[in-house]
Amino acid sequence: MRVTAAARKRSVRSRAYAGRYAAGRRDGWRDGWRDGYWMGLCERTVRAAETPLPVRDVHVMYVSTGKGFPYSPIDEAVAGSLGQLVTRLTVVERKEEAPSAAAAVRPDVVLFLDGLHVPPDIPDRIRELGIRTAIWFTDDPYYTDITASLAIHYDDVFTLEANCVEFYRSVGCQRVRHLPLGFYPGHFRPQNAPADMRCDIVFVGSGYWNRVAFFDQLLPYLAGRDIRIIGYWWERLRDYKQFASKIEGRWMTPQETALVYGGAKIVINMHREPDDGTFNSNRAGIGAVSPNPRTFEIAACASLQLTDVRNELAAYYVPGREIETYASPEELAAKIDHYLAHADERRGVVLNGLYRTMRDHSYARRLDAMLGALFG
Amino acid sequence: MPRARTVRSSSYAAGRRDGWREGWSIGWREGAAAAAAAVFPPAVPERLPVRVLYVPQGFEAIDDGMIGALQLHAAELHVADPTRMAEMAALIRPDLVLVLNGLHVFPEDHLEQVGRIREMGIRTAIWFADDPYVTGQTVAIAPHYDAVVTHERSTVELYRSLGCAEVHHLAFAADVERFRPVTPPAACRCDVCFIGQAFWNRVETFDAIAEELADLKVFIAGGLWERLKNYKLLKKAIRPGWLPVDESVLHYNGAKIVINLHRTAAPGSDNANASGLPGLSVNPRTFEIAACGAFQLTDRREDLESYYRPGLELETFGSPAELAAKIRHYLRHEEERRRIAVRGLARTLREHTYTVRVGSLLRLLGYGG
Repeated sequence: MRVTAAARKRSVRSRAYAGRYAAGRRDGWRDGWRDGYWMGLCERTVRAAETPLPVRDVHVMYVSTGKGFPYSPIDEAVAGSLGQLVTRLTVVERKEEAPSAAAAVRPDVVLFLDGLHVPPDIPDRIRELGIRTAIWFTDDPYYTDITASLAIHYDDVFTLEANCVEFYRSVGCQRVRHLPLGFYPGHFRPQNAPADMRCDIVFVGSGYWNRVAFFDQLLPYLAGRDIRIIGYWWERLRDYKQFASKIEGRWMTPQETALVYGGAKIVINMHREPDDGTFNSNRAGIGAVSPNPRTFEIAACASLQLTDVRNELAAYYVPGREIETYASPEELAAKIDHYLAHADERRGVVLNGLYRTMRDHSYARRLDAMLGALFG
Repeated sequence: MPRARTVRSSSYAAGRRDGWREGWSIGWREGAAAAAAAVFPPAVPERLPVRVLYVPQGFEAIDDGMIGALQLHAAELHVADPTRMAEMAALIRPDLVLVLNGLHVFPEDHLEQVGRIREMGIRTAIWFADDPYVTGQTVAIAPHYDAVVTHERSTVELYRSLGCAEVHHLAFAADVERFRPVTPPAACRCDVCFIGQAFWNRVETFDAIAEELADLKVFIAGGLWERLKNYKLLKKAIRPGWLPVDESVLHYNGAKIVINLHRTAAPGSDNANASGLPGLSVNPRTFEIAACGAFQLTDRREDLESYYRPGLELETFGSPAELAAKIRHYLRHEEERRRIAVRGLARTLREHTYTVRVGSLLRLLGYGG
């Protein structure tokens, strides 16, 4: 058989194709293995942390905050978690309908969240029916000017800020308990972020003035680094122009936030100042000692969290083992350098933090504690 | 030449996609297995008030596991060579002399030594590891011991009928210090792996699926595989002779599927099963494969479900055709495969370590307090 020039060319081409395919396969295998190994570690760690929670034979009515449609993330988190903990859950979408709905189905308790926009006559009318009401303040201490007058309209008050417990007692509330927020595994969990969502360092959040001042000092240390900042008001930065390409002024859904956290090697967490002037109603000047919900959300996504210290932090995570902390821009920059250079150490802290988070800090666990406080 | 560039980049991209998927799946198993092993730190058992003299068989995978576990459980542990067990017993005066298997390397005066130990008032126990395949020999040994333990349930009645007063059934386990999840070197990676001697029943099965295996990356290690009719077809895959245990750990870890096929208990076929009793219980390898976090495809022994849930913690086959079909299925269904493998590991770490098993053994022998 005569081999034609064209056939020879075809065969050369197909050999070249096979070579390029093999090269791609090798590279892909290596990356896939790396990502798969990490997700295998994370998913198994999550499994190991799972502990079943009791289901209580009570009927809870949850009044949605009505901040979003159909559910704001926090409504989804609370309703989704409550559903696993009680034999009956009724969700009311519009707060105005809560009294009539409560009269119709007679729940054991009506739970409100946040409550800034709930007129006090709503809990009053429910209590007149002889039905217990509870509220969980989730933005303390930033709006205590307003919440002080609302709290007394509820039978049970829960606040995420340990420092606010005495405050509510002082304004006349009988049953007040500290109940921190948590994270919702339906939103925040380890995920394999797509390549274009990966980076070394990320900060998600608005440019409150305390944060802007801090980043003004921090950013010069991170000039060559792969960093992203996502949130509003960052044009306040002194060197905004220099860093504009790394800044995205937008809001993200929890799902997208989770992928951004998961795609970053290091996530910076910086609490608001209790006296931040941007958007604040805290004339009582109550300090803040409890970690923000973001602390739990970042840890749940299996990224290394570098957080500023709130007094109570050690009650939730062991610093240096389950989380890392910083007290100054210099310390943060040094720890970023360290943990980017020491990947094994970084992953060790991340997995410890992930385990602790999944075991102790879910909304389901918090709500279980709430139900325990309400019903024993 | 934009067109050529497209072809070039698309062939690379296609390779990348396929490679990524396979790498992900394999990496996931290794990561999940590593985490599973890390979150099951070996339990520290309560020490039992018994001083033990252990006499190993020379099966390193079992002996090392036993010795490690006895060190945790027993108040005191000594290890004696089979040739000097009576002498050591006289010196140490233990509460119990525990012998593994008592075959092969054991000296001619093995049974006289046991007699002398018992005359000293020391209790003796033997744990048989090769039943029912060697019952031709074990029936002569068992009556010389105070207590007989066998890993094969079917032989319990046999020893009782010989007049043995105390007979127990207890499965072996995995030495999880040795058999554990690791990331193997690339050379140890394959689709299907089998490690073991080519006993005739194994030869028949592998001959029946040889064509199926010929297209896959296969690793077979062990002696006598030239018995295969399809030897030529599988020759490339066969590594003749005994494979060191630590290498088998790497190959279990590198295989997408590890086959476990018990040897036949049919009398006379590569064995000394004079009793003709069936094999109802599982081999130590069942636990060892699972301890690596490997996906195991095993033939069905009656006792299997007491240890692992088929379809969840490992998979089973009842015929060469079913074996071939399940190999095909599980090579395609990667997620199913890797989840089963990791569940099998978790079960092993919970229930089938030597630490757990030796605790059961000492309790069976009455040292539970």
